[in-house]
Amino acid sequence: MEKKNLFYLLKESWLGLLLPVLIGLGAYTLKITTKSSLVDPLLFAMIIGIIIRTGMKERSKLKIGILLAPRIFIPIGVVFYGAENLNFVKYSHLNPSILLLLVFVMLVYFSVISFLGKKLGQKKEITYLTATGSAICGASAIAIVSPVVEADPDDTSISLLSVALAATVGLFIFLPFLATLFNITNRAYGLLSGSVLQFTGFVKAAAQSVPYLSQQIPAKDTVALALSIKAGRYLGLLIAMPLFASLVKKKFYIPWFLWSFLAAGILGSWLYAAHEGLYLKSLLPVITPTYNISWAIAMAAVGLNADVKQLLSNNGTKALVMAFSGCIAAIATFFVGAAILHLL
Amino acid sequence: MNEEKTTSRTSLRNNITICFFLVIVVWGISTTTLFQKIFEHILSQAGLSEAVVGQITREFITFSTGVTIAGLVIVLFIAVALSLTITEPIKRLIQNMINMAKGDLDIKIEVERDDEFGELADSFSKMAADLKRLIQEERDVAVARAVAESEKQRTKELVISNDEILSANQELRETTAKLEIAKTELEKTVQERTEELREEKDNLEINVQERVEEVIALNKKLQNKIRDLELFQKTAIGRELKMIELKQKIAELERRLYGKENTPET
Repeated sequence: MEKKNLFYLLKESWLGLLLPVLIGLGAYTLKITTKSSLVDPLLFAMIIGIIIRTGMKERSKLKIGILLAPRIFIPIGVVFYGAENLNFVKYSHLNPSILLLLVFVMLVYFSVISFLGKKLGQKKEITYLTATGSAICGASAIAIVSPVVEADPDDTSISLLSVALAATVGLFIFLPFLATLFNITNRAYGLLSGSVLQFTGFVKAAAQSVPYLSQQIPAKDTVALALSIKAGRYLGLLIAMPLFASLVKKKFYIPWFLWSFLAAGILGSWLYAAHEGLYLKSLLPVITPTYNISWAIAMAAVGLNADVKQLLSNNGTKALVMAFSGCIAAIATFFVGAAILHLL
Repeated sequence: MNEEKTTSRTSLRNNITICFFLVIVVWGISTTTLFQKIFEHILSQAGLSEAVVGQITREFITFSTGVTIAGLVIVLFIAVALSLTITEPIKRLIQNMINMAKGDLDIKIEVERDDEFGELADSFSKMAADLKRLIQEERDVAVARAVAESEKQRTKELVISNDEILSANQELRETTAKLEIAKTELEKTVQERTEELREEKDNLEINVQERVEEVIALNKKLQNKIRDLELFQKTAIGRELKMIELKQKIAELERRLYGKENTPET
């Protein structure tokens, strides 16, 4: 009977699964061909999904597959993501002062966004996703946490777009303005972008195009520094996932995702430490595209199920306010903390 | 993911604010990035040293991004103010519509505007006044109809009542006549019965008297019998006492005769 049900499910859902798969693959291909750090396949897949959904009239035949896609592809992405990004060996090399500053910045992100979420009467799911996406890692963190907090597709899309907009303004406006105004060094700029910017691709883009700041460290090291700081933020998922899951379930709860994420991270860290060559040359080229494509497919499905009008709703506006306020508060915290810790 | 969706309301204010914001963000980023590139190119072409180019470009970045930030803030204020000028009169109109739906037709929207909103407010106030007047007229007509109908109904009821009263009066007369006959017969019956009762009473008195006399005679006899019995009792008791005395004497005599050892028991 179970095989028959599975067959029936696949038969009903294959068309709805095919569309997000195509969109996800297309978004990842766009990233590969443009070779731009700004092209986040998850974000683009979701946007394409939203655009297609707006143009589609009848989608009842696709609905089963569209709803099924995130349930299949997010867990796959979580495991591979943990294997690459939860690298405890790299974390051990981080400067304790920088780590401390990073913790403060993340704490400010979570606090400000949660506080505003409560004050503005925002949906809890959107608050959790916006806080996680801002403090930790944009689309990836939102993709991991959204099933944990039982978010609607609209909640996920509102959070992701708000965080993406704040990240875009942060990358092109806030960071260059403050960096040139205070005349910080390129090293400090690398720290700033790694600590504050929401998307890994944006961190790389910021570190690569430092706006004519004084060269404290070689330019290529700025990117490595920024990315290592950014990687440190993934540790926040180990707290965010059980915390938000418990808040939603109203009891202490550890989602199974966390165990697979942690296990993959430990395995990845061991492989990195014991067989760095194998890890970097053979495994990473498989791991990175796997989780990127998996999550791009999941985000495409989210976009196909999201209502674009909700982005202009009261929840959408509140999410924008929260994301921007969090970003501004985090930037301010960085400068204050960095000044205190003599990191500027 | 949760498959059930929950929707949030949209608002004109949000739409306007977000649209303005997005426009200024896109414009700011595009112009800043583009002009920065153009600026760098021009400065490089001018043969200036990298340090000078860097210094000038840095200042340009500070200026352009600063202006963009200021523009964002200003545009947000403008967007909110503009949206308020649109949404406030609409909200007031909606509230008055709600009040009107509840039955309050004494509304007049105070909108001091010369534009379409002012026209809308005036038209709405006029519509409310006309609606009130029409409803009042309809009510008056309905009331007059109801009164006329009520009068007609009342007259019908009075006619019916009058017939019923006449009929009831006739029945009452017949009933009264029957009652008179019944009363006469009842009086006659009562009279006869009273006579019978008188006779029975007299007979009863005579019987009672005879019985009383009998009882008195019997009582006298009984008294005599009791006296005889008492006498007999006295005599019997006297005899008994005498017997006892005699026995005692006999005993004494025997004792004297035979001595103490041979005294027989009494």
